[in-house]
Amino acid sequence: MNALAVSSSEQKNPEAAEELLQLVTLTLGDEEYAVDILKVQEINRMKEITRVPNAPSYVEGVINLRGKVIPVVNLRAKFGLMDKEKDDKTRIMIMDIQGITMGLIVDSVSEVLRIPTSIVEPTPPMASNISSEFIKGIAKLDERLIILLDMDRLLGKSEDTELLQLN
Amino acid sequence: MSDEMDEIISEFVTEAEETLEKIDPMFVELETKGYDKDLLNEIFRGMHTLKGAAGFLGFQNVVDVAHRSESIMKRLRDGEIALTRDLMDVILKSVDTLRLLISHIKLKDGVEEDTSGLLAELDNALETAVSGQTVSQESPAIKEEQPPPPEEVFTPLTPEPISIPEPIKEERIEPPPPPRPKPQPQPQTITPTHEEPQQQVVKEKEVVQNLRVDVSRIDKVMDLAGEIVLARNRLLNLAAKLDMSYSGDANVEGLLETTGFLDRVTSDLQLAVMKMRMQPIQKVFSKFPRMVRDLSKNLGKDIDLEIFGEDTEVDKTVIENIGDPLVHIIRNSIDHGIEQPEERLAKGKPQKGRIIISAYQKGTLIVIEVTDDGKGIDIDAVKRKALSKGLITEEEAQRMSDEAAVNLIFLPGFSTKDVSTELSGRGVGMDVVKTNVAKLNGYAEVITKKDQGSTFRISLPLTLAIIQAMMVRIGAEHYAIPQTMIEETLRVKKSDIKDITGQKVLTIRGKVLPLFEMAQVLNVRTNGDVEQENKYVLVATVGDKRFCISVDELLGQEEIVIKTINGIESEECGILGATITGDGRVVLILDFAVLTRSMFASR
Repeated sequence: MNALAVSSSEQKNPEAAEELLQLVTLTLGDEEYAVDILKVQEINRMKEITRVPNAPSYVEGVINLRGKVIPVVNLRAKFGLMDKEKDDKTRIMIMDIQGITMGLIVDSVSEVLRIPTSIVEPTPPMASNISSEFIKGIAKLDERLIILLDMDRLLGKSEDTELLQLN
Repeated sequence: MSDEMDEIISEFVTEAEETLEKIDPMFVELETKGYDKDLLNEIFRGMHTLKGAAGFLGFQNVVDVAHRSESIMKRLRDGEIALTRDLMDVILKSVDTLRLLISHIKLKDGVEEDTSGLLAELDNALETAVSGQTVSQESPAIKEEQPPPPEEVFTPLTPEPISIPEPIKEERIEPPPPPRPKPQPQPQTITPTHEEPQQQVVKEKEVVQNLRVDVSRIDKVMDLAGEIVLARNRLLNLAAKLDMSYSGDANVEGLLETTGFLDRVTSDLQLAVMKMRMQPIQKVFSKFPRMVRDLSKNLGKDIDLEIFGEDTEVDKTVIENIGDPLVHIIRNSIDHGIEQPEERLAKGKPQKGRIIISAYQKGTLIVIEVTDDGKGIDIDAVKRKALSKGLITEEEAQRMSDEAAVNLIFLPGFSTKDVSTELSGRGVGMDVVKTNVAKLNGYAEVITKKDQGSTFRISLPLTLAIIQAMMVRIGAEHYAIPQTMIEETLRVKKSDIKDITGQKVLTIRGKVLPLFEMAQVLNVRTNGDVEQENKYVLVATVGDKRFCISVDELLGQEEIVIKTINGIESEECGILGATITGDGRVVLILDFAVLTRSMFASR
């Protein structure tokens, strides 16, 4: 099994004097992003993807996840970034977005982070390559800037159909 | 409301709906047969049970209506009054009202229907029927007892549980009432059951034979069975490979034997699970006698309805989705197919029109046919209309075979109410028929002969979850094409394919068919492959369209399990779903009903 399961066992956290966010960080190019750990089901290595004809360009295709067929979205394409050759760091993050299981192709997945909510700042305009509506906020951690993604906005139903209509 | 109560009520609703559904066609049968004690008994019992359960749960309005219908039924059964058309109308109306009341209970919308009008009507009907009857020995007594019900009419909301005196009194002539066999939590509420103890007992036994299971549980089993099928395919694949590399090894032999066994068991399991979802199509057919009766009466036509093969079992999804298309077709036959009685006589046909609905299994298909002996479809008129709507060109209209022309009625945009009258109306909502049937992965066609009638035929696959498909390779990609839409597969020389004004065509046995390169339709990257001298071509039919598609390789026929893909608008992509092959690969199943739209649009 090439799945590195990120279960929610990290949740046990009694010393919640301050509210903590549990995140999984990922990279696209030079930028570091993070998503809520509860949305992540598992992280897989790159595997064979079946292309879906006539699908929106950011839909890379579908994969077989233990007998279930789920769509896979290329996050670079979704953000309008240049496509990059897949390598051994490329990962498919399996996420649960509004009840729908989806795969998300990212350049790499780095770590599980626990950060206090206090270090998250609201999105400054034009802070990143990507449209600010997908961003929940920005966390400053030492020298690092981590962009918190709003997965429901990014791949949620309403937005998805909207894009399909555009195509 | 507590959960328990909710459950009891929802059970009541299900049961009531089933009862009403069951007795509805009986009324119509009764009307044609005249007096039939068994039928009347059956209806009476249904009403009675409904009344009892409703009374226990305090749905007084249901009780009021059911009780009055029941009284009428009882008198009919005992031969005290005769069945008239008016009486039947009122009873049918009460069945409709009951259905409405039940639906309100089901939706919990709290809407109170005003039933007082109907109640009075029922009482009136009974009274007229009784008074119009030659007085039998018992009837005077009954007549005197008649007045009490109206009192209740004006106090329909009395909360007290029903305890209606008259039926019991009358019942005294019959053998003493047995204790109610049905486990009713509170025995004191309802008038005791008093009819035919034996039949009642037999019925209870039958009930135990059936288990009401939540559909989602069956679907779960279905899913799991699908998984096993995939695992089996994969195992068979691996075993065959092992056999090639280690042929003769005792363990490999053992493995082959076991996988062979697994193969058979899995097929049986698949069938068994499939059967769990199958239900007799009677569930759909049962509402048609009533519909035909009402519609033909409205239109002043006389129509006999014959139903065959209502025991034919079809998948639950088919039951759910085939009702509407059939209603459309039958309505169409009554409305526009069958002529007025005078017209029929003038044509030398029997005055009574005939509609035959039948269902049967043919190979792996379920065929449902609706045949009428009406005037048939005017093919020229269909052509004219298709022409005026710009659906076909003048040239096409002239070349078109009658067979193809008739099927134009299934085109979206063909039927609109206003023009339909001018065209003697055929084709109202026929595109709805086609779309719904296509959703079930089947196809609809029509065969017609002037003044002899028309037959609408719907062919559906036996099951929707597992289909036979042709696996093909297009470029480096594999796809599955449902076998139901493939007519034949051919290998043709490249030189056989001609080009007519930019459209590739292929002549097959004298017929010129358009040919589409699947690699183009699906935008498959071909990596500049050298074009092969020989091409594989599939002749496909989707509705009225017949065409060829070319692929790079035929990989063979396979039984595949359809998996839906959540999160992709698969319909817009021309995909029915996906399947997982023996080697774990995801293969998409092409949906030509959608693909043809863009294929033919870009011509």
